[in-house]
Amino acid sequence: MQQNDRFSTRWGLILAALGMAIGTGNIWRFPRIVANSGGGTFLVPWLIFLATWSVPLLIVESAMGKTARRGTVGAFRELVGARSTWRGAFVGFCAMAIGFYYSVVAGWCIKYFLMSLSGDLLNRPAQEVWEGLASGRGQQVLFHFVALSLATFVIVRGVSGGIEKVNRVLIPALFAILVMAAIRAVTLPGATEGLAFLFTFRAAELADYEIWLAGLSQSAWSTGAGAGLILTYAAYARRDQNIVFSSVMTGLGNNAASLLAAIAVIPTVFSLMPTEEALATISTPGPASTGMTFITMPELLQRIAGGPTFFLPLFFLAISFAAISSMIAVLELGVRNFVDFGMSRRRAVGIVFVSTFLLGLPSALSSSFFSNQDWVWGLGLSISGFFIATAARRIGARRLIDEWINTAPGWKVGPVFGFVVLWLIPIQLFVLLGWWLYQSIVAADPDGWWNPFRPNSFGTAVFQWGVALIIFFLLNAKLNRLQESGQ
Amino acid sequence: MTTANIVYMVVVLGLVWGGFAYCLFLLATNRDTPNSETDEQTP
Repeated sequence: MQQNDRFSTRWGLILAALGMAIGTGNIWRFPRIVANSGGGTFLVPWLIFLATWSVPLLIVESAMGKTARRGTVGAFRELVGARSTWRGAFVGFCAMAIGFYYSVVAGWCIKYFLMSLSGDLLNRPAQEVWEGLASGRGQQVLFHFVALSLATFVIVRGVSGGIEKVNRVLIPALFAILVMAAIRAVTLPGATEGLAFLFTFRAAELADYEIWLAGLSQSAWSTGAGAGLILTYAAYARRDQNIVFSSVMTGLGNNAASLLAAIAVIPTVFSLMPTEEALATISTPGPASTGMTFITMPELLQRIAGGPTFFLPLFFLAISFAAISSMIAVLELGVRNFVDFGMSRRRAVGIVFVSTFLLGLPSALSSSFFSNQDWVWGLGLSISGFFIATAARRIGARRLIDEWINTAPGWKVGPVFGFVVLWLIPIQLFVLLGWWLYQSIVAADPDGWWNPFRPNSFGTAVFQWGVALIIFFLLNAKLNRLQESGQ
Repeated sequence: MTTANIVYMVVVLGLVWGGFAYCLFLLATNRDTPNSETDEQTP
């Protein structure tokens, strides 16, 4: 596999970017956040932050990748300066750290898909099935291995021969499945009540700051903006790929998938449960935030016509596709950084496979470790987003727009874009981090928020980020030497 | 579903799905990057 491997078509990057952005969170988190936020009013801040956070960050990241033609480490070194190489390493590590436990999640999805096909999900209490999987350490490790192997099988074939080809199938199939599931949901008796809940706008609710923070966090994490993943894919973009267009399309496609998932899930729950119970069910995160997906949906889908044999496997197939396509993006980020150090692609794939398997094992074996990692590195993406925004600040708005972004024919950004990236994104970031700090100190754990050994404390997040930041900062010279030797 | 629900649904879906469909149309008809090479011309 050559290092100058590229996407063979403009579709290639866009489908891969959609695969990166559309993950399990679109299907199991988005409907829950809508329900927690009181329904449809939430959609307004969610759409505003798509325009003021997600798409601008996707554009900056794409510009960095396409300009530098390197992974996160090399892009920071080349475009921001040799003193900032460690920041690119942190961005890459944060995404990889998410990949370590995300592979376990992808494993659950595959396991449930297989169980739905074999009929093992039928006529058994869903809670019992879930607890059986959660407590079965061998099963957790096995399916973590299976999910990782599937994604690695794609990665090893390179960008045009693997990632592009697979996403050409996975993403249209995922949308087709979501459309089928949504059509089935809205044709259930009583489904209109769920639709009305999803599409009720109450202007007064916009005065509640929590709905804005929920919209910002959902938009920030769902699109993968600031994670370094689209930066990595853009390193393989064609010369004529318009990154403004591809970023806008990725953001809209991600939100389109979220809306489809919500239309498939919320009316189904409302159709099969009394209103109060439906609201409580959708709002409850459940074990590992997955209660609705792995407990409620299997029970509900068995009760609709065609559910046990068709819609149940289809639902878990969609989630499996979403998980694997995102997993592919995470692995490619790691592989590309190692390739930039001068390693062969096959060797880099081997190292990423083995390290992801080993470092994902604790999450497969311990639900509290899983929860801790989800908390620490999910939140760590805000640091990554900050580093991406500061990279843009370092080179200045004019150069960013003229030399990095508006380089291909077609859609372009204007001077307002500089204001959004240099000012609006950092402001939104500090508001978001401040809110998380407040939540973790005052609301969640006023006594132990500082304790680094509590799974979901502010202390554990700061401690683990701090260790990673210090290590990469100290390794900066070594990272620079590795980059030079790889050129 | 009230009329207000339906109007809101049409606006949200129109923005998101309409926007996404418009992008798909531009990409499918090679109008996303005017005067670019066609996909087949690039090795």
